[in-house]
Amino acid sequence: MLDTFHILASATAEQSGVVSDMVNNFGINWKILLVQGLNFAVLMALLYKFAFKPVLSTIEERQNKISSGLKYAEKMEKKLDEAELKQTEMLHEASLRSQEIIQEARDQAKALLDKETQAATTKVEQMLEKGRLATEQERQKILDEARQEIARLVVMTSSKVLSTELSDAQKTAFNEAAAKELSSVN
Amino acid sequence: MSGTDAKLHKMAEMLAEYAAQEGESCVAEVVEALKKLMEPLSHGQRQEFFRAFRRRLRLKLKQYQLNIEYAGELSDAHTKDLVQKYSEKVGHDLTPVITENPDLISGIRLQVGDNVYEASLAERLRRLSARV
Repeated sequence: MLDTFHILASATAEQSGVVSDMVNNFGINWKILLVQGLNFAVLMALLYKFAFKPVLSTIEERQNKISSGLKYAEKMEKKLDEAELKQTEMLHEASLRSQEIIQEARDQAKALLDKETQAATTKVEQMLEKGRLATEQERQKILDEARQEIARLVVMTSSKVLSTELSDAQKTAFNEAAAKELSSVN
Repeated sequence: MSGTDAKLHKMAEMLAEYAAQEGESCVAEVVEALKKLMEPLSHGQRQEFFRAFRRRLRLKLKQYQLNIEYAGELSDAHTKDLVQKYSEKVGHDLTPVITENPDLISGIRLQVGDNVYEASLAERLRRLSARV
């Protein structure tokens, strides 16, 4: 290792003379430096004009597009939310309305059923009443017929009995009474 | 009805009234009057006139007759009494037509014109039957 230091030290000692020469000989040429700066500026301007600016413009345009897309997406999302809300409201309203319609239909069906039931009851009552009246009339007719028949039989029997059983004296007495009765008719 | 027809009907009415009132005693007289009245008439008119006379005579005879139906025994005294009472009632003399009717059972039925008066057991039984 010590050898290495010796070698390096000797090399460094040999090179220190070259560097000093270089420093002494290194000079700045202001003209070349200015031309090179000018070239650099022109290059930068050209690059800015024909490279950076279109790229920046494209980027900006894309950013705008992305931004408007995002805004549109946000707007659409909002609209979607609103639509969903509206749809929910409409569904709710439709559900309420359908319930109302169902209830109304039930009420109408019940009313109709009640009406039909009432009509049927009335009809049955009328039929029963009619039947009762017919039975009563039939009963009355039978009673009348029986009464008339009994009366006819009573009269017939009485006539026969009276015709055979009345004595002449009784007939004469009745005729006298009849003559008096007829004489007194005004 | 024409004036002549009306006059003929009026004559038929009067003849019927007269015949009913006078009875059998005036038959010849009435027949003669009828012949005279019907002489100028046609066959159809005669038939119609005679039918009208007969109808009226029948009605008038009913009004001048007292139909007496009886069952049992009816004395002359009662008959006379009834004829007298009903003659007074209708305002002219009535001719009694007496018939026995056993259907009455007992009692009397009188008829003058369309009016019927009855006092019999049969009639009482009918009334009883009607009330039952």
